[in-house]
Amino acid sequence: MNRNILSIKGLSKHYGSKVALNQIDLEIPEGSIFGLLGPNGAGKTSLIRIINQITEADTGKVYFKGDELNSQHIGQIGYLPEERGLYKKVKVIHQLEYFGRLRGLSSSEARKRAGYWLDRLQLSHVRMQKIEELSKGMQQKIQFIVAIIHQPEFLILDEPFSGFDPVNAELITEIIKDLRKSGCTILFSTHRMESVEKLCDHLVMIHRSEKILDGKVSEIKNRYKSDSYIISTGDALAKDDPNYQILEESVNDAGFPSYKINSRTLSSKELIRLLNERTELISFTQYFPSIHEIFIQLAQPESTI
Amino acid sequence: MKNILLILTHEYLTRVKKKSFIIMTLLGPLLITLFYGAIIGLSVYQMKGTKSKTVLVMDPHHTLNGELPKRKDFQFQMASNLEESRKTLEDGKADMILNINSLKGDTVDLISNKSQSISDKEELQQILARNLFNAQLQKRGLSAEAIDSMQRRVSIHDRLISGENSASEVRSAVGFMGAFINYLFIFMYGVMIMRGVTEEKNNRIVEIIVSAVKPFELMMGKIIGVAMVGLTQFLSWIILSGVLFFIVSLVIGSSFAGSEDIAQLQQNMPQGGMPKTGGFGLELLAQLQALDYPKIIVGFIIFFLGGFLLYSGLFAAIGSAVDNETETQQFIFPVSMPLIFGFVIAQIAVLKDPNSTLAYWSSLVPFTSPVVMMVRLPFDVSWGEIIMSAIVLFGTFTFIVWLAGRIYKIGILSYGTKASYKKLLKWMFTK
Repeated sequence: MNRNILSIKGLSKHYGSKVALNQIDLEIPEGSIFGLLGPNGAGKTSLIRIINQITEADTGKVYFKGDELNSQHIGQIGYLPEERGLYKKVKVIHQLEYFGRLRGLSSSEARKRAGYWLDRLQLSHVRMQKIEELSKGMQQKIQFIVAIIHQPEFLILDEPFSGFDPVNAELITEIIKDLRKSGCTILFSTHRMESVEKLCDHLVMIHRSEKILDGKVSEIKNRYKSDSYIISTGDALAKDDPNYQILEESVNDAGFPSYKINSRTLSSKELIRLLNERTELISFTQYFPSIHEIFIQLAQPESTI
Repeated sequence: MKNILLILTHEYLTRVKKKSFIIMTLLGPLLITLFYGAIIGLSVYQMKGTKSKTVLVMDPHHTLNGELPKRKDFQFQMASNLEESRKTLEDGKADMILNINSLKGDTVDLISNKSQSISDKEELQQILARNLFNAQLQKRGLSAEAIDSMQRRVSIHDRLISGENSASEVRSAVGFMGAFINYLFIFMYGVMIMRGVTEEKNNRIVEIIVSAVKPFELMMGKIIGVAMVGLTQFLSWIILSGVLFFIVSLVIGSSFAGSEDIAQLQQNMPQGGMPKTGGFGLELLAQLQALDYPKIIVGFIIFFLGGFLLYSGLFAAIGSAVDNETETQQFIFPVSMPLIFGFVIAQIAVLKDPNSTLAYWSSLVPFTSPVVMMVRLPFDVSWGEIIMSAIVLFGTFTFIVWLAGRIYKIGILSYGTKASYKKLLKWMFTK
């Protein structure tokens, strides 16, 4: 039922002898919040630049709603770059109007939308001020408006939360969710893996120019769950039991001993029964690895070489 | 094309609306007038203000025949005793002693408290030489009248074969002004473009813009937009100066010409003929009338735009390649070399002979033509030559912009790498 707004097939990009992207395939479903993950230098920005038609790929194709990506699509794509930039000496409203027009809006339409978003982000009072007169947080918000002013169907956010205080980050999160509700697909690029789990429903992980993982966040978590559990018990557990291995040990808020254990042979049912026989089992949870842990796990074999 | 227009408009409006631009545009002609006024005023003041120097002349061999020159700037007094004269000098009652101690009078000792300026020394040499010459003529029996009649100033009024006023002084002045303006504007606005590009790159605005338009469109929009700003400023200056000139000439005209009106001025100046009465002012007016204004103005606009666009492309490429302004130095120099060279040619070769081989060729070479052609324009360059030079200029411009575009495209997105010639060359040839 879900169409893909963006399909990438066999995309490669070299800078001289350096490989930036190697044979990347990717499908971004319409209406999703799609996480693009990877450490710095993995190739995220190269990929984003190709989708934005800033640079061209060496080989491979990008399709936007089934058509090969071309300059007609510029008006349907919004972009918030990681490195923020606005004209320091230009007034807020003129700035927004200019960028809106570059994305294909008419002058009056751009002004109308700019007015709406300034209102929504509580910035109406600065419309006639120059960017350099604004606080950092306000500048960030203006930058965000630049990315969405033309109501893109596909919005690329590169590290959208860097530079925002928690209050504004929350505000931006709300807007992102609203945009998704109104049908916008969002590509959310970041190297901070933990921020993805809250927001994204799909993700792709890039490491050293290669795709190492992609899919639905929930599926990925299930795929990478191990036989690890988080438990709390009435009494301390025996340390050397052949059935389980204690990975971490702590005390929970109520003062009961807590453990992260790994089942050696038993299924979860059998483990529960075993623990209940030995002591009082207070809580028992399947442990799902964080995206970060999955990344470490996937990236490890190469990085240890 | 729509994008270029959009960027062009934005670049143009943001620059034209700036306070500094408005102030410069309004005050420019006034400042220039004031500047030259101040120079003229100062030099007049200095001429009036300097006290005449007292010079004691010792002429033991009577080479000057007892005659002393009469001047405003020097007061000559005969003296006979060197010791006395020295004392007068020490007392500060005289400024210097000239001791003509050779028989022929051609070597002279100058004694003074302070060392004298070169101009004073040269002046004295000339005065003495003339007096010596006169004295010699007198000794040989020529009357003072005869000598006077031999010393005449000559002034040449040159005419073209067509009967037109050849007007070389005004032509040179107009040509040189055009060359200077082109030189100045190319530099000033070229650097402005370069700064703009570097700023956009540093601010990372460029990333947003090139996700919406092609880098080449951005570059062209910027270059043409700034060119329009330059043209606006220039035209405003012309108009303002015209108004200013009109007012000044009205004031001067009413105070000097008195009741004499324009019709009478015209009468004094038959077509192509020489003014019967009046001096320098009328000659100037006649010369100004002799110029081919349509050709000069059309030529100016062609070479102003052509030269501007050509160099702007280069400056934009530099701006895109570097991360900050301090890095631009190494690239600005080679780019501006031909421009400076052209300006030097304009000053030396062209003013001496606007139709010399050097002038001809350098007004054809695209990197010097925007400046050199300006000097030649008032000297009746043929349309054919202008068109040929313009074609070469715009052809080169197209090529340079294409090349600059390639550097620009990669440069604006390359951060943190130090730009070098090797790298620029590589960028030119990468996809």
